[in-house]
Amino acid sequence: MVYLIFAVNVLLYLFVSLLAARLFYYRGVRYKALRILEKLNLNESELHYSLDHMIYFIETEVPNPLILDAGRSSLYFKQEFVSALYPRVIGLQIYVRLADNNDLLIGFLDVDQIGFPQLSELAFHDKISENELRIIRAYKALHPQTQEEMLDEVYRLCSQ
Amino acid sequence: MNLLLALSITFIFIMVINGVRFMLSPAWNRALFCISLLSVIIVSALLINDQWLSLALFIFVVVSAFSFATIGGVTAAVVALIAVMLLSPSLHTQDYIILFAGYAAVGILSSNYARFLAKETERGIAWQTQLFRQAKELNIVRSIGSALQGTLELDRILHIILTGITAGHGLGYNRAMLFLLSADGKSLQGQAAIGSLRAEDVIHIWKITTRERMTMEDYIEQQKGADKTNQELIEFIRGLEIALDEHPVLDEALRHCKPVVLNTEHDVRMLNQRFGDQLDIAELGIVPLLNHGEAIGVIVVDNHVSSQSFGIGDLQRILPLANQAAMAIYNANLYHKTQEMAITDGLTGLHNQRFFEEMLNTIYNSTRKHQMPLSMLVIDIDFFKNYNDTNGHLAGNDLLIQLAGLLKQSVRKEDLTFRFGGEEFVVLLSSTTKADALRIAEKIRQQIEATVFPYEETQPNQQLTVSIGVSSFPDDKSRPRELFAAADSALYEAKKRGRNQVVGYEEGAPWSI
Repeated sequence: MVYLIFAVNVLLYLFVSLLAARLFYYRGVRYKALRILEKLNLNESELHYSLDHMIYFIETEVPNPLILDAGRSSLYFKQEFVSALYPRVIGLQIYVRLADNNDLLIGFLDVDQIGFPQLSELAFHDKISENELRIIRAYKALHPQTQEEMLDEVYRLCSQ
Repeated sequence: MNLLLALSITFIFIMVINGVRFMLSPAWNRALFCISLLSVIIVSALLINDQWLSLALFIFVVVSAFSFATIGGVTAAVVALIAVMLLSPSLHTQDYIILFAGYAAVGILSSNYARFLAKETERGIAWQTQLFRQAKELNIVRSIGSALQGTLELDRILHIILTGITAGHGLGYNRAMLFLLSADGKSLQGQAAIGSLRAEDVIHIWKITTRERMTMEDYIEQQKGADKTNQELIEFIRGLEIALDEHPVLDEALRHCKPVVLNTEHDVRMLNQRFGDQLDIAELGIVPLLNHGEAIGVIVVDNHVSSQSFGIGDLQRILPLANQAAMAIYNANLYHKTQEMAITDGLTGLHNQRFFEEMLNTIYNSTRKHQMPLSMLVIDIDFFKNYNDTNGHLAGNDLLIQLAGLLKQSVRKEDLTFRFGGEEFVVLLSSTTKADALRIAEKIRQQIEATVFPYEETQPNQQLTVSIGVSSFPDDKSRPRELFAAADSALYEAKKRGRNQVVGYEEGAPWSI
């Protein structure tokens, strides 16, 4: 019985840590990002970000029939992380759910390429470090509202 | 019950540790995780047989090696040995040695494996980045290509290309400037630019475009707005003429047809001095514009706001756009040249009859709309057949060229001069009343009379003269073709009256139409 306690304890520790790492990573990034924004006297809701660097793998200059047929609700994203134990988000992949379950990757946003004009201005005046910028980018990338806005943006671009 | 309690305590511990570790820096995150794992192992081991402790510590060593590479693996091996020595004092020295050797070996192997995995991950990310970058470049080239297809206007072409280089949807440089090689190939002349002299302006524009969620097509479409925003930089760039012999680097980029990065202190100082410190350059990229293997200019880029550094590899990414630009510029110039040729008389360089037909209607409509007068002069060389027969057709051609030059000089910039055919010329005088037109015609006639032309002594009156017919809208006629016919009939009247004179059209005269 005692051996079981020992084995389960250690394994539980490792597995739960692995499984919950991304959740805790988001919470940690959120905590750090909000502190940075507070320090800079910036309101999160007024922090405009740019998705200019989104890479599309489909034609966006004309309305895309694939996206139009599938509809906005068929778009979804996957977060791309490196390292399981110490996760770090590196990108967001946008997919369109197709009828044959053969979902198609239509866009990718490199987290390091998310632009914030206000923060770039602060960076230009050396008021924010590159590391702090990276934290805010990661926070924005993982924020559910950003992700929804991003899907809206992709749909708008591909359907107009 | 014990199991449940132990699991509950462990679960709470996991939550607390994981909750805290991500709030710390990455290094402290790793350290806290390794230390907490060690404590879980030790606490759990205190409850059971110490032999299991020595085995469980291998997990700690592996995790530490993955967290801190070789140094983590070796340090964890030492820590694991100390833990065993403290908690299992009954083991023999030989056992400790074997255990330490095992911990160290596992630590080193794990760290090597972790390094291998990290490298593989990095390689995978690099491949993905490369692939995605190519996809983006393909999109940019496609967007720019399709935008370029819609225009042959040089200004618009330059705007499209520079948008592709500066927009976030494009290559994302903070500033791009385009210079074209002068006709003699000795200097570069500034033509177009996107960006600003000051970083603050760039950020301000970026704030607006981000808020409005502008796409590359929006940027291309809004050329007028962009030109207004970039006005200061455009004016500065258009005023720049850079002699190539003073700038060997530019010369090299053009001669060897390859991109160049200027980032040494000397380069930057030299450039800033040249640009009067107005551009505040920290690093500059120069990309040649190549058409059929020949450089026709350069695109200059920099990141004066983001200070993001770039290398030759980055500049290579501009090349497809630069090549497209060069080809589009060449085609636009060719088109304008062809268009110019189609409306120009090959001999005299004046506009031809085709253009006259086109412009007569256009100017007439505009004149009527704005209720302004319009006058026309029809000029014919007196005894030109005699001049040709006596002096040959080559001399006749030279005479036409000289006379055309004289006509061009005699009228205002806004007036249009045409060779209507043979020795007949037409001048359209915008916003000119009949009285003024008669004055101008007389001045031209006198000027031609006073000018010495080769072989003019062979003419019947020993000098070269012209006869001029004048008509005006709305005084004489109200339709474009009638206006010409009126001036033509006045010209014939001038010939009839003895040549070398100006006659204005008179409605009701016996010779009127």
